[in-house]
Amino acid sequence: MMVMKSWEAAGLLPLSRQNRTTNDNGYGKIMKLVVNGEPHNHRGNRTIASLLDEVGADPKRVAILINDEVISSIKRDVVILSEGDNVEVLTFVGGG
Amino acid sequence: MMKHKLKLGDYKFESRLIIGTGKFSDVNTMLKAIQSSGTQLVTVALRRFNRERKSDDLYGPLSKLKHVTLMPNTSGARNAKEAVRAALLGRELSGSPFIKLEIHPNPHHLMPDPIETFEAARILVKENFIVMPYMPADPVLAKRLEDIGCASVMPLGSAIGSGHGLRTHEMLTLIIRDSNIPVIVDAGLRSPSEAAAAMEMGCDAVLVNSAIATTNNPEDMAAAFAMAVRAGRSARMAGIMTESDAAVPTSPLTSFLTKE
Repeated sequence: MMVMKSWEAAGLLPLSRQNRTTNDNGYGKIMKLVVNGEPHNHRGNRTIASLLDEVGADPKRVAILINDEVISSIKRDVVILSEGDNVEVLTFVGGG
Repeated sequence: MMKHKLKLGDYKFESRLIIGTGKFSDVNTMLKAIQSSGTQLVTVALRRFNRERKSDDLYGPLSKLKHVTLMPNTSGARNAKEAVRAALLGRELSGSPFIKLEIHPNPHHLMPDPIETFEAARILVKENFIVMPYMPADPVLAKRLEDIGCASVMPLGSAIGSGHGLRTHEMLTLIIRDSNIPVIVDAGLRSPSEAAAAMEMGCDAVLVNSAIATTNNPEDMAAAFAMAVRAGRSARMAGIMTESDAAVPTSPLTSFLTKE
């Protein structure tokens, strides 16, 4: 996991690849992640938004943990995933 | 009749019944129970997102309920570190400052770990959570949790989901006697009469899940619990009569029927 600089997050440089939806993570290869304990081949642009799109989760209804670090909603848009990242995508369920 | 509201942190609640959302057969049944109970505070748990089981997601349905505040729990945490992480995740998702702190590493009895709970509570108070710790019914620990800034203490009546009622009656009495923060019985209650008994003892609220969720008609049972909690609270505020060893007549014993 890397954290983008503010100008990258604003989409001023191609590193963020924010508008790319092709099977291209900018490195021309699949990135291996672990998502909710399972191996996951990431083909998106390495942002959390593209990963959530891949796994079919509504960004507003999940909380994200990467390598045991809680990703705040403020930080979520500036995180770039790295090979081998351990990502937990969590949601609310019934509990007492 | 209910002059005082339940105060937790900066929040005030009319309802003194907190509902857990586990074990309901489906979301609709749960929503009906929540509404018929009049509760204003409900617990939720965090689990891994599952694409095949999107219907499990409660955030959408619960966020539509007006006047209901979410209280994420830290269920699944085995120590303070995991509980703090779960709390931060819960706050990110819910936006709610409430956290039901529960750390019970042993799946057999689910008894709360007092040491890890205390440690996590200290951290979470500093992180500006409204900390609601599930705890053993221990008056010493209750005081310690109050001292470090917890918003309430939530001692168990008996084991989670056991339906064994107020087995910790004597300890609860001691906790209530000394506590300056709300005392909420969490876990073990089986029937509305037990909820009423807890309120009559002086508990400030009760947290009920299994006793509502696992019944044939959770909607009606939730309403029954709400009435019982109100009854118990009113009785407590009215002042319950003192006991007497001997009978005390309620009618005049004038012997006008017999000749003197």
